[in-house]
Amino acid sequence: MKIQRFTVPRPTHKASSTGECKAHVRPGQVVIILSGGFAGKRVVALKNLPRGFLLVSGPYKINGVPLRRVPASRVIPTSTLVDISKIDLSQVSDALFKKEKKGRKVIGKRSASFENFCKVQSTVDTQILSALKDQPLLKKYLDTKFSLVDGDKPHEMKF
Amino acid sequence: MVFQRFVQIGRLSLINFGKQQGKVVVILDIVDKNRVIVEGPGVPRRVLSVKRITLTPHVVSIPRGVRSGLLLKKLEEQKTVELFQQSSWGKKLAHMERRKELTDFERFKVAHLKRQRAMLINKAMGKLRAKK
Repeated sequence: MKIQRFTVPRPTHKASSTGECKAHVRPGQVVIILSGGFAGKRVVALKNLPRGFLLVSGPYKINGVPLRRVPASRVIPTSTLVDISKIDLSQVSDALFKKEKKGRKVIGKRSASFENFCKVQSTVDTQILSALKDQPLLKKYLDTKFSLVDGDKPHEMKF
Repeated sequence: MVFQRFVQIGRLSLINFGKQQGKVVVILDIVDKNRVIVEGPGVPRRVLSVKRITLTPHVVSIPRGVRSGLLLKKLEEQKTVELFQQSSWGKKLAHMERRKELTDFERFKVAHLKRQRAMLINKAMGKLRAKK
């Protein structure tokens, strides 16, 4: 009689020493931010950046998360995808995120760089929003924070 | 209270422990008062402690210690596994399995639908209360 044997592939314990691309996030994937002020927010990943960072956007209009660079290791990628294949990110660069030197604040006046940021933000977000147009539940999903309740086992959950 | 389910040859049972937890097996032979030989679809023949299995109400009629081929044939003929899966117990297990497989967005959808159901029920109940 043929003896059936179970062959279980041994787990490979490769440490992600470089910290690069720990989470293989595809553009358009919805990810959950795990740390910082936006912890728990579900946002749309737009692009992989060098040194293990991700470019994400809430979109700002839905959940208040602006264009942001987030370490990919501090994020849970989910299997939900938003179709952003036609998105234009040419205006987004590292320079966009540079902070201005602190000077005297002029009350009631926005700085030029902030104005520019807002403009880029809204052009990127309108493109994402048009992709979400006919999916009201997906919008609500992005608007809802991820959280755990008693009895939830995050290590057994599928995202 | 009289016992209805026995550790007997052909008894369909569920493994309730370890890696094969939740798998359906059939008792083929009894080793001693604590251990039985079992086999099932996707479970190679092995000895198991009676503690590690949960008996279902279904029985396949097979002779003692049949080989794998005949067992699978008999299971198919008598549709025992299907009968179990169609029972409310089997359905509940399948339901639990499905819930485990849900993605984050699907979990959100479930919660959303549950909230909507509760809203409908509360509305209807409110109307009934107002009538009284």
